[in-house]
Amino acid sequence: MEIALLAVLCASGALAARGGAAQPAQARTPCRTIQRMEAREHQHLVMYGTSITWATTWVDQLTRELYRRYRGYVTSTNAAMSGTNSHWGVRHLDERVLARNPDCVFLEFAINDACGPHEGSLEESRKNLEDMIDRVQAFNSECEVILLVTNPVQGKAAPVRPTLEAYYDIPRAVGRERGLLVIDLFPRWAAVLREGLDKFKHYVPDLVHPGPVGCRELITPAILEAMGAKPLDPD
Amino acid sequence: MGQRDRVEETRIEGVRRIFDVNVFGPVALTQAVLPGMLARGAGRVAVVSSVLGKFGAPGRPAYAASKHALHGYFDSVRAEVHDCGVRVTLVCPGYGPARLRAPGSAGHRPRTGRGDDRRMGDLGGILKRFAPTVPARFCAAATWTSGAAAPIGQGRRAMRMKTALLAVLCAVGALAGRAGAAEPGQARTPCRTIQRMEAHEHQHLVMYGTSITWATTWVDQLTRQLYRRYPGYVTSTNAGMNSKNSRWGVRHLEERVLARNPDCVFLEFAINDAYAPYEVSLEESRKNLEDLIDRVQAFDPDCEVILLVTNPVQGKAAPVRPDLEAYYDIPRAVGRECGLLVIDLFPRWAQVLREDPDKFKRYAPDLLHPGPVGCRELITPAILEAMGAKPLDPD
Repeated sequence: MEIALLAVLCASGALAARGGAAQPAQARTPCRTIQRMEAREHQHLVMYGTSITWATTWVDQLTRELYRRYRGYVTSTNAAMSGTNSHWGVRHLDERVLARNPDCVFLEFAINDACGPHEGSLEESRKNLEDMIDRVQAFNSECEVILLVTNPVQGKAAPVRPTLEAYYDIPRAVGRERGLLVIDLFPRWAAVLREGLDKFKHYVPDLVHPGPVGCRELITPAILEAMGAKPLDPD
Repeated sequence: MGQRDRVEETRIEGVRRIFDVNVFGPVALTQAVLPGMLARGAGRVAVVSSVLGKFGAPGRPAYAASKHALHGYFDSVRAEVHDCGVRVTLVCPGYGPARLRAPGSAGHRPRTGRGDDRRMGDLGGILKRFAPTVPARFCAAATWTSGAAAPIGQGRRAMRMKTALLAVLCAVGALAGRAGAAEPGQARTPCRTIQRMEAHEHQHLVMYGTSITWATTWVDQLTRQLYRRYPGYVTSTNAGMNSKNSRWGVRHLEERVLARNPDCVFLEFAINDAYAPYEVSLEESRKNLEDLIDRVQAFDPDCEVILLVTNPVQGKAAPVRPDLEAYYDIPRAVGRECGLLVIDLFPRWAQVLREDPDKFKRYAPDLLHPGPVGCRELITPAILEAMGAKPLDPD
């Protein structure tokens, strides 16, 4: 049994490391966006996704943290919208993302593609994600696309997402296939959840959307780390 | 689907595509739903046409032709189904989102400004040609007003009346809106950006200024408040930076503002132009501000520029800004001269300072930068009010 378990762990480890999946706590080389900021090239980040992107504070926190590290070389647009899924993402990519000439685009739709009432199948979710990536890269081949895998949900939001993890596997797989950076926050969130629902609730008050504390203590540092941002200067 | 090409630049495939979407789409949909309506003996088909279904416009031949075709088709459908209880309505907006252009057409420019697109196609552009002295913002206001549903069957007389109404609206707008300075507390007609959001046109706001813009929370608060009122029609970029003045603003306008294709730009640099060690004279401050405005408007004439006059400063930040109020007079004067919206927060801040110095400290804890409370209770509501944003729905 122990050997079998080890084999499974090794296999999953090998799979995770193959593509761009960046689980926080791994030391990362700077992603392209960070490298360009380090080279004093102004970067405009556009975050595109659901309420996990729009109705939370990590975009603002991340921008300000990057600003503190690469002063003046970062701006961002939060182009997400609550209650949307990747169908909406495909429809509004032009005016909400491409029109802003992004240098880096974060995509985060899986959590709502997994939501029953939205009726998005796994195939559609993958197709939509690939369509958005293709269009971003066709628009500007230098634009970095980063795929975000977010948190588990609890409470009444969970039963309407019965196959959430299967949807989360889509950005992981697509990122691996295309060599994109995938920032997979799920394992870290799962660890929080294992510590108890109260801890999870402290970070995710409504059991779906990370609150300011969850963003500040988990999401923002994890993304900075996965992007390979340098530590803050001691001053 | 829109189109903005000159005749000689229009490819026939593009014209076919426009007809596929604009004409054969509604026709096919109508054929699909009409039998059910006829069986029930009730129903209404509402078709989104355009004022360009009534007349033509330069640069829009295929688009106008497609909209004229809708009128021919649906006028006939109406006559056919009227006795069966089914009604047909053609909606003719005068101003609307200009983003749905045919990919591959010569006018398809996803990366850059859409000023020409808007000017050539919308009724505001046409009005501007007939009444060139009317400021663009009032043409936009008037055409948006006209952009509500216009049922068919009005005839030429009704169209002439509508045109007359538009002219009156323009004139009234020009008279009423002469002075751009908006002191919070005044009831304001919606600014162009708000009007466009109300017309379901997505607007991207870029805020460009000093730490009063970057290191505070009003940009985020304002964006979220606008989002609550016009969900899905607003995004923003905070392009400000700490310790910067208008000289830096002039240098970095391209990559921080114009490259984001803004529909509305807030400018706020006076507080640091007034910082004596930077040695930005009053003349240079004005010149820089005018340069910024000119370049934004040259990039996209439909982009609204809003000038922000911010707060007084106290404590050690005050002596190094000995002529702050003279610097604040510059956006006021330039805004008035250029017919721009100036959101002058200074009187409200001055009142707080006069009546309750402790409150001022609560609002601006370091006596220079408004904190979250000052932003939430003073700046954000004042800007919303000055922009003419609608109140939040009670729910």
